[in-house]
Amino acid sequence: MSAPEPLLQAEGLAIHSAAAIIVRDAHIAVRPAEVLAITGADGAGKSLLLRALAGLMPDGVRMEGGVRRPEGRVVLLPQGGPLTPHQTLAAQFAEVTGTKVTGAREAVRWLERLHVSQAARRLELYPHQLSDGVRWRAALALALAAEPKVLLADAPAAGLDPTVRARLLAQLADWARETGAALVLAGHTRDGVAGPADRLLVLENGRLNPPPEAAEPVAAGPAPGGAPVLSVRDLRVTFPLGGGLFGARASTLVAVDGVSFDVAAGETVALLGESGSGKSVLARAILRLLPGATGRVLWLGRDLLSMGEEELRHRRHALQALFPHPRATFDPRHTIGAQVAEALAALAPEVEEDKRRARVAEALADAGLPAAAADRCPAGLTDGEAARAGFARALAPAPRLLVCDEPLATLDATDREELLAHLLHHQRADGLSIVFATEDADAACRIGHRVLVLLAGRVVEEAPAGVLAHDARHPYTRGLLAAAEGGRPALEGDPPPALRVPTGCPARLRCPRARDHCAQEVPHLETVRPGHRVACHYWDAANED
Amino acid sequence: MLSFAARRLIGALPGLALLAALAVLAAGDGAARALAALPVTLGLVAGALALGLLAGVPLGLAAGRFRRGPLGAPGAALAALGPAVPAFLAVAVAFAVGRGGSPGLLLAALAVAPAADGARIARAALAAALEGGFVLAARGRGVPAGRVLRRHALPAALAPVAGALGGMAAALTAGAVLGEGLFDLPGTGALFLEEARAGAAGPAVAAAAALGGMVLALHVAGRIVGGWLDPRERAA
Amino acid sequence: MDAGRFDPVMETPAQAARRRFAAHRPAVHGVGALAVLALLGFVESMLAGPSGDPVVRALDAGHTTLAMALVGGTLAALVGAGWGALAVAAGGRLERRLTQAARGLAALPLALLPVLAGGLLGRGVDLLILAVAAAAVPAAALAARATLRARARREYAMAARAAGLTPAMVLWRHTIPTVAGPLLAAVWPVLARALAVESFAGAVGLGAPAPVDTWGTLIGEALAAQAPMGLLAPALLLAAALAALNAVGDGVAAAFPEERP
Repeated sequence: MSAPEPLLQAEGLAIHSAAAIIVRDAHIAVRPAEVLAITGADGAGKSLLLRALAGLMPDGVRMEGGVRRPEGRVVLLPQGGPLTPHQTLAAQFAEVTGTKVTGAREAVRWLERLHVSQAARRLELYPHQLSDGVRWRAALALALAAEPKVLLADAPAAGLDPTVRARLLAQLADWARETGAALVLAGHTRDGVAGPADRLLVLENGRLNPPPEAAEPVAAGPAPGGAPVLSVRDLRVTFPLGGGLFGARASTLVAVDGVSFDVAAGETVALLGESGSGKSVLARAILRLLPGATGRVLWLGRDLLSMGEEELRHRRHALQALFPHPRATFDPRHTIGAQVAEALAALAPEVEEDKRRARVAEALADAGLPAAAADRCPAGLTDGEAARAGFARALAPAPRLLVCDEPLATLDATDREELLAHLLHHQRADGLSIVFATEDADAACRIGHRVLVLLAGRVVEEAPAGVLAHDARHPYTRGLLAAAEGGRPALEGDPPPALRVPTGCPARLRCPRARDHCAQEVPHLETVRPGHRVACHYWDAANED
Repeated sequence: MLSFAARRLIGALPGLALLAALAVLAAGDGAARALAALPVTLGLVAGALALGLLAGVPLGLAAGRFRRGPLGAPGAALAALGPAVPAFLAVAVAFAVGRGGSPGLLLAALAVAPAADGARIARAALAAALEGGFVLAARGRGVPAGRVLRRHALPAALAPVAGALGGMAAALTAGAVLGEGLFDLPGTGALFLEEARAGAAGPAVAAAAALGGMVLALHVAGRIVGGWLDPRERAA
Repeated sequence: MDAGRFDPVMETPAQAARRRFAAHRPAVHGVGALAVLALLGFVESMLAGPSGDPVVRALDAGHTTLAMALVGGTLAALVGAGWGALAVAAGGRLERRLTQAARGLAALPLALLPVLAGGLLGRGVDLLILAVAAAAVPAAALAARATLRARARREYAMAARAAGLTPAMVLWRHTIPTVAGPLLAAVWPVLARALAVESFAGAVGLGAPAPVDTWGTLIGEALAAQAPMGLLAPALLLAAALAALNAVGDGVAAAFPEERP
């Protein structure tokens, strides 16, 4: 029995601009009902490769080599899933199907299949009136309504939360397998395109290769015992919302609603959640980098939230942070070395000038950067190097607590593993305590000793990392775990918007187990076993997904 | 769309009321004189806008579509000319070269600035739209290239032109002030100049306020057209 | 790594800005043109004294005209940048009010302001400069606010606080120097606007008074004296200066492109 003929085939494909060769000698073949994922770093040429396969090259870029396309449509969905801003959805669907009537019918069919509520009403809207999640679903639906034989999707659902994105990608893969179409997904590893794929290719230095052997992923060692160095008690962070005429009371947004936890020396606590969960706000509030926090944050017995500005500044050398966009945290006009030195001068003024230079070099080396990096400006660093520069600046004053807010967000797989490895090494060597906020359940369970899952500002599950990875009880946690391993989360819809959290359990609109009781009462944390608590009314129901 | 237009109109009322109050306070009955002469100036300014945009925008669009080659060259040249030739300068040069002449010459001279501005804006906007994702997405779905240009790229390119209408009108008003004086036309611009030169504070301010009101009205009209072309503007 | 003229890894942002400006041909030509326009007349008038020939007078008037535009424009840029900075720093409702005010004023034909001032309060250089600056302020304020908002860099401010810097240190040592370049690019059009507004006032006969010659007043003189061909020389030089300022502005904008996150 022979394998079916490939629907899309390219032999010896080369793409070059006037300045450089972008892709050389690429071979691609995609069969019916097959899902191919192409990953690579930003700027590697994945988007141009898809455009070449679709036959829509931009000016100034030339393609060589043959591309064999099938009878039937080849549809390209570019990065960002853009929609024409001045046309309603109905108009754009009508254009693809031919008439208004078929357009509306197909639109409703596809939107409902992608679980967009009130599909018919949304047809009359313009793209800017839709939320990101709905807009992405509309873009996907539009591509599917064209009934392609081959769909080339560039980073589909990128930027959406992991559970939403994983579900949409899984639905796309379902469609391909049902209709016998070929699906090519391109994207960065962080866009999760590898999850639903049958085959994976990596675009690097212009060549398409099968993925390299994955190295053994790093993981935290056993949890250290010991008294907590950081104790967070009933932390609440609110933001005032504008509005209120004539002094009427403005409403407030509660970003973090009464979170408590402890961190021991040498321990990592991971804060796991999607956008709007409050994890970033919580992480920054712990270091008092945001106003509007109440409660207590006890560092070595003293409350950081109630001490004076100067006193806090004197303690900052022990409390350092990593941020999601490391390059943006540096002044573009000065070198890395100068800025690490500046931080050291401000945090540890007792260190003299020459000792300071040595310390800066040491910090750069500890972070995995060559000494020459000290003379570079932020613009000259790659994403991985920028992340390590941020790490060096945090390490220079010899901190005891490191609060990380999504530090891996901009990194590809290799850089991610390296940074995690460095973090864990320092933790083991110096007893560094880490608070690690992330939306990636895999990273959370590997680097964390304990994991707190956050939703709408509250902890909905907390457990040791190993326990969480194997026996998570909250549907939301299980969704995040499924998304992290490229599977299909059992959660519908989008994360609740911060301003309109559902009554009762905030996850109930997405939850496969939701029942009437979930709308009436907010679940409280209940103990599953020592060290494992869940806030769900039905946590002891059998896990059907 | 209707509510957007109403909101824009209502939003302009305070400004118009302020200007009207200023005119009346300054000149009493003289304000009526300033207002009565406005249609001439409005005719010049609106006429120059229409003439200039009708000529300049298509050239600019061609330049945006054909970045290289002869089809885009006139539009590119016109667009580059823009910043160098403000409306009043074109009027002065036309008067000198034409040795006086008809109001038609004045209209043509005034039309140069909006033609150049329109070409510049349309060219940049179309080039940006064609590079933009949504044009690629439409092509990617199989919409034919001609239709993509007409239905997707073009409206996106025209919206900024409408948005700039107010600025063009303000510059044209200065040109009209000079032009009415030189070509001897009985508009509010000539009145303004006459009163200002004579040092008559009240009537001069009233005339200026009337001109300001005219420009404001054209600005609002431009924003309404912009909102019609680009729904995102309606949210602002 | 290219073995070319520069090493992108080691380049400082200042060097990058200079390189990008120099790579923008029209901008470089514009700088040259402005220099010629300013110096030619200055040198000539120093050497030869006053003249009656319209072309020579037009050349001589170059440095005065450009100087007035520079002073008026700089004044407008400072006030406008202050307005924009105040709005961004204040945030919330105050920002909206300030921005709406700027937008409302910018919609009006402010070029009439110096004419009004000249006619009603008498012609004088100081008054003219003030009125010209006032006419250019609202647009400058809008441009400044948009730029400051776009380049706010909150992530940097937060990281700097975590690194022990006080807010004052962050503002003075980092925020202001980083935002200076893009701000300059944003308010640069103010210079051309000031030049055009001042020339318009001169063209209607209400610009700088008698012994001071600017291109605008020369145009106005030619029109009033029924010898209109005499205005062609100053008109041409004015157009050249406006084009040059615009080209330089494009170069400055190219020197400080949007940062990728």
